[in-house]
Amino acid sequence: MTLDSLWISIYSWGMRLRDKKRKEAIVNATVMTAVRECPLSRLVALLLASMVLPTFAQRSYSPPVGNAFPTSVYWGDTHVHTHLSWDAYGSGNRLTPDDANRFAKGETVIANNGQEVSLRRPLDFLMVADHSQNFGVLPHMAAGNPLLLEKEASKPLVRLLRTIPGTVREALNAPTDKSIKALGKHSGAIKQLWSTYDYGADQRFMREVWDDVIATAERHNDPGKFTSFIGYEWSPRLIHRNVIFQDDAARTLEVLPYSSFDSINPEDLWTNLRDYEDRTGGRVISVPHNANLGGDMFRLTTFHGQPLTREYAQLRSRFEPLTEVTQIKGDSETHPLVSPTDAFADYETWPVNDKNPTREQKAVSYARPALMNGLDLGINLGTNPFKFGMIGSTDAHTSLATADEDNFWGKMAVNEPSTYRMSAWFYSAAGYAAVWAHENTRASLFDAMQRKETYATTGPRITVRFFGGWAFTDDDALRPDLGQVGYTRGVPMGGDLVAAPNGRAPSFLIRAVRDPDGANLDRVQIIKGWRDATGALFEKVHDVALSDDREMDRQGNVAPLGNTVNLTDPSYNNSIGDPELAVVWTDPDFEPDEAAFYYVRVLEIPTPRWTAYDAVHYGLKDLPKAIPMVTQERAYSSPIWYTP
Amino acid sequence: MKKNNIWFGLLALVVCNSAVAETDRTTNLYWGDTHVHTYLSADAYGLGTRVTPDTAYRYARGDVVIADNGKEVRIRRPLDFLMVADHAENLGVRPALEAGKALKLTEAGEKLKVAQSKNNLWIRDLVAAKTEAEQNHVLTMMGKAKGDWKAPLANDPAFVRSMWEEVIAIAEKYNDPGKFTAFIGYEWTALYMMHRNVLFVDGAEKTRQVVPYSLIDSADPEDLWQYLEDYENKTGSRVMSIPHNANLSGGAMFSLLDFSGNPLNKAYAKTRSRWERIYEATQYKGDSETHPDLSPDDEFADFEKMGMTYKAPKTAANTKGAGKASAKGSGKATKSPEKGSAKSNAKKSSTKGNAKSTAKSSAKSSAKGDTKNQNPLEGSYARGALKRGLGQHAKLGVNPFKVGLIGSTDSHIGLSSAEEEDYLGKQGALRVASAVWNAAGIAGVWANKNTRQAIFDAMQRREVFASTGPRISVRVFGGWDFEKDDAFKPDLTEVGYRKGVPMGGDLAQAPKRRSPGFLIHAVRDPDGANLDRIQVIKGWRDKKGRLLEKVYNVALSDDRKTDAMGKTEPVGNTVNPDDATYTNRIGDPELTTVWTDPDFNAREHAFYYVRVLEIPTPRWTDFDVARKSAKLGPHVPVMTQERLYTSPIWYTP
Repeated sequence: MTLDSLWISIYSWGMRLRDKKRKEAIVNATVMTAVRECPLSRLVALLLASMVLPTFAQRSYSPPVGNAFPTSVYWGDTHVHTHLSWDAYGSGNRLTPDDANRFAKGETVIANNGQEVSLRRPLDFLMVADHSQNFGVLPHMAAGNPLLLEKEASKPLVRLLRTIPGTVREALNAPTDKSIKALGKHSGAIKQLWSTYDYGADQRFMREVWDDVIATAERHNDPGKFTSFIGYEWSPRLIHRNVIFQDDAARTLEVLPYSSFDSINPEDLWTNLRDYEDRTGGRVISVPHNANLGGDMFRLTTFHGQPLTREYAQLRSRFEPLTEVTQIKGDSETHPLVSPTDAFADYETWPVNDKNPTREQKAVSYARPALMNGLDLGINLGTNPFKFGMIGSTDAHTSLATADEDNFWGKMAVNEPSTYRMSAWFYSAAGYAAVWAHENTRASLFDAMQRKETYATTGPRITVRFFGGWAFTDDDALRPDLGQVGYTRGVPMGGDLVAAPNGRAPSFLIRAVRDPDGANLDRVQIIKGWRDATGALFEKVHDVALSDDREMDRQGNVAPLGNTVNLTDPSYNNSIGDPELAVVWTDPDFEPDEAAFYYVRVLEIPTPRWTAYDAVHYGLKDLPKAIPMVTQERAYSSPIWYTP
Repeated sequence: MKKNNIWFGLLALVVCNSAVAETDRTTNLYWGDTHVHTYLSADAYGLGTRVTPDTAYRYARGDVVIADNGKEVRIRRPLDFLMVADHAENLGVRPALEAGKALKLTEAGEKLKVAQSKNNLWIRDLVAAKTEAEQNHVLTMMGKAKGDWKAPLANDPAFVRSMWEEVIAIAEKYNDPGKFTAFIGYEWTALYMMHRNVLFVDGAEKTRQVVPYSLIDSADPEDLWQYLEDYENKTGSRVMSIPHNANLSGGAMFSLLDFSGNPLNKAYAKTRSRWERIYEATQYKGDSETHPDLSPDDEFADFEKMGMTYKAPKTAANTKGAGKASAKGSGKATKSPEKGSAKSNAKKSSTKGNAKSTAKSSAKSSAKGDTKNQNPLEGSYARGALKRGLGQHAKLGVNPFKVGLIGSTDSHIGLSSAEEEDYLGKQGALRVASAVWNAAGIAGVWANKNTRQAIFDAMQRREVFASTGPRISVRVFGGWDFEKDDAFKPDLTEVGYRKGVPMGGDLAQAPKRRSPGFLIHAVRDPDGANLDRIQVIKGWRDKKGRLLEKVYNVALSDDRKTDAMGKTEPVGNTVNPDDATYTNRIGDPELTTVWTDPDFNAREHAFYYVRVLEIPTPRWTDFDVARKSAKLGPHVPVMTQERLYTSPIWYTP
């Protein structure tokens, strides 16, 4: 007998024997008729036939056909230095751009301290961003590149390079920190020579290095699987920018990296980038970082001290859609002096060279006050020069993009894991860039960066959805197709709301899901900044979703979450916090005439900081109390702006 | 900073600080389908499927493609792997006929060739038919004219080879290590729904050294396994066979008798467990986890049961001797393929050397023995089979039914769609007539990378699970040292691997006075429904040899508790059937627990697998209604409660 007739026989007997209720619940009367009255093999045919017969409906049945919105979040780092950066090489990094890419892809590599290292989870994208001034000079000089050696001016540096006091591996594994200090001293001497002279001014040399950087990125770029961006860092004192090209070799080969020997004025950099776009038809952005260090990044005047102009604002907002807001050299979201009522403002605040901090200085050095100033400038100039989204990246100078607390490989090669690195306890194991995109390609990720559909985390892979609109209802937060609802009825992070409908306040649809391999969430907050009719600027932090069913009291206070961190292991557990928080929040203080921005901050429950992992791994005792051992990691979304 | 002694410096040389580099056991979750038919399958072709394997792979990896109804379709989330598994019987013959290729046809083939010229007209008539009666009329004519699609239609080894080369070439084209895995394979379409998918780990070089093994070669699974062994011996490589639809096999799939009607022996058990390490437990043609009559105390057993209760095949049970089996039951005009199989069996009898009779009579006796001595439902469902496996293990020393669980679709339209909201299995006005079909399933695989090798390895070690569609992530580890707090550890996975074995693994010889503990972590589909509960299904063999089962609720959403009877209040229901929506107001996004067996007896063989239930959601039939493409009959279900089944962890005394 045939298979078909067999199972249909079974089927039909089943139909007869089964109790009526269940039978009816499963097949409708039509099929019952078919089963009883038509030859059984025909039923098979009927069932199969009905799989394939055309429908007369106009639209496809398949809902995803029409989906135009990004469905995946991709994780990466746009800021990793390799041995091509003078300071990285000078402090002992011998790992190449190739190593950096292999590591980001998940391969195990040998770090400068001699140990094997790998990421727990690979990254989806990476940009090797080496300093463009004296780009690649040190490794090439050490290797005897004739283009460098033929210059008279190279001689002192060449001599210095011959006297390097050992490798990082030897230094970190030596019984005392003497050899590290020697390395540091040597590196300082290199810095002195390095900063005064453009050894790479020879275009032939620059071309050689740049071609190689491009070739490495091209080799590792694997559309759909891993994106390796082509770029570099332009680093005049404290107004550093990473230049990210969307393009491949064909276009990027037409230019050379722009360096601080060319100009230390950001306007000149943007002009250079504009020329690139005009000439090649390509696309490029520049991403500022470490605003926290200097007080110059978000100044309200131009480089030459002139008032900002509309042209300035247009140029800046065109090329700088993003800011790198958290990284190893501290967090740049906000500062306690700027946001004194924000209980979580003092996070990985950079303590070095910060003797007499002032509110005024900090207000031009952090993202939140810059976003606020941007509202004012936007009205005065017609364009908001500080309309940027958020990403995180590491700024690692080890070629290793690590941002996990239990797998942190430090800032410089000499800060790779060893018994000595605790003196640099202030480095922050952060951060990564999260990008909502359609696919893992240069074009798709770059598009997302340009529309600011990105967020920053201090390392954990927290998934954050954030939409603003006028018509969200409370239930939308509970919808399984929350993303679809968000895009259909609102704008995603990085977007704009304008001209409020009469009597309506904006509402925000938010969902945060914890890192699947990480810590539960403490809360979701919305940070609102706004400008009132008089031009005064304000900020307010709203707790919009709290874990463990906690509620806010009348004063807006929330019971603290507690802490499961055990420093002896170190460990923590997820017996507190929630794996997921979702909410629709409507601004209760909304004024339709006031420009505003809203961004999301998600806080994890407390977890051990990298210093705690070091202390246990190396058995370090009697550490100074000032060294923080517990952290509360977080994510910052790009803002959604409201313009009256 | 404090000076540190030399010991720490030296330590740093040898001890790696990277928490990650120390272990290569990290696994990622990959989703796929090992069972999609395209126009190369004769049955699919006959009913209008023109989607090619090329399109099938493109759809699976996320491209927009054109379905047979001319509409664009796209999968909501791409799959990580796919195997196009077309029927080996007459692979590609019908499209070749249509294309006018010169084939050496058999008599049946000639008949089909004539009939096929009218096929497109029939299909058009089917589409145009206004009533069921009209459709049925057309279908009858089609059936009469065409004969059985599994009967040998062509006798043309060169053609078979060329089709197989084509199947291989397309899989090779789409296989993209690290990104998308395209397996090479096919379906061996045995009698009595003892179907198997054959899945090769290899690429072209090795797989082209064989051609697909079909029912026309033999209907005996042992012959198929011999073919697999021959392949491995010849190529030095690996292959597996994956059974499916035991639910429709009348107990034959996991029968306690072999194909010739003899009780299973140790050699059989060894062979079977070598080749068949996973079982496709949920798919379009119904769910095969368990049955309400098999598991009367399991309140969730009645799920997508294809509307049938088991009854022994009339063929076998009622026909004494090797009579005209095909005369029974449907009594249809289709020509049965037994002739071919009998012939090849005879041919092979020298190798097998036993008293194998024709496929017909042997399967008959097999099923007959079943009905006489055993509850045949056990042979039809995964849970029954797993229990039988314990009994056989105790008896033979080897468990022949030691299977992990996966889901797949068995789509016959080339499109792997397992989601309720986007179920493409049937389209248009007719699909309500097929309301019994189950919009399922999908295979979850824990592997360290997305390559043929790594996914194959994971299937071999059974670190896989079956979902009816939702991409629920689930981790299960069994061990003797788990503590309550392990469920809250962020590095739960590392703890699991360190202190226990993952799903598909084995526990043996319990330490004194210890019960096995299970560390379980389930996270809902990020684009889907919250979770209702986690259950552990335990099956065991007591000292009297009885095979028993019990369902434990081990984690419940919304802070619900079980009462003294082990019962719990239902999670509730947010489905609005009018617009086919629901919300995640109920249920939990994540459930995690450590559960220790309270009834453990160290001397009893046992298995434990996890079932995770979602909150109720609209069934695909409801989406049809909401989108106004269909009217339902009065009792067609509009809600479902989707779920997943993990591979078991076995305990052996």
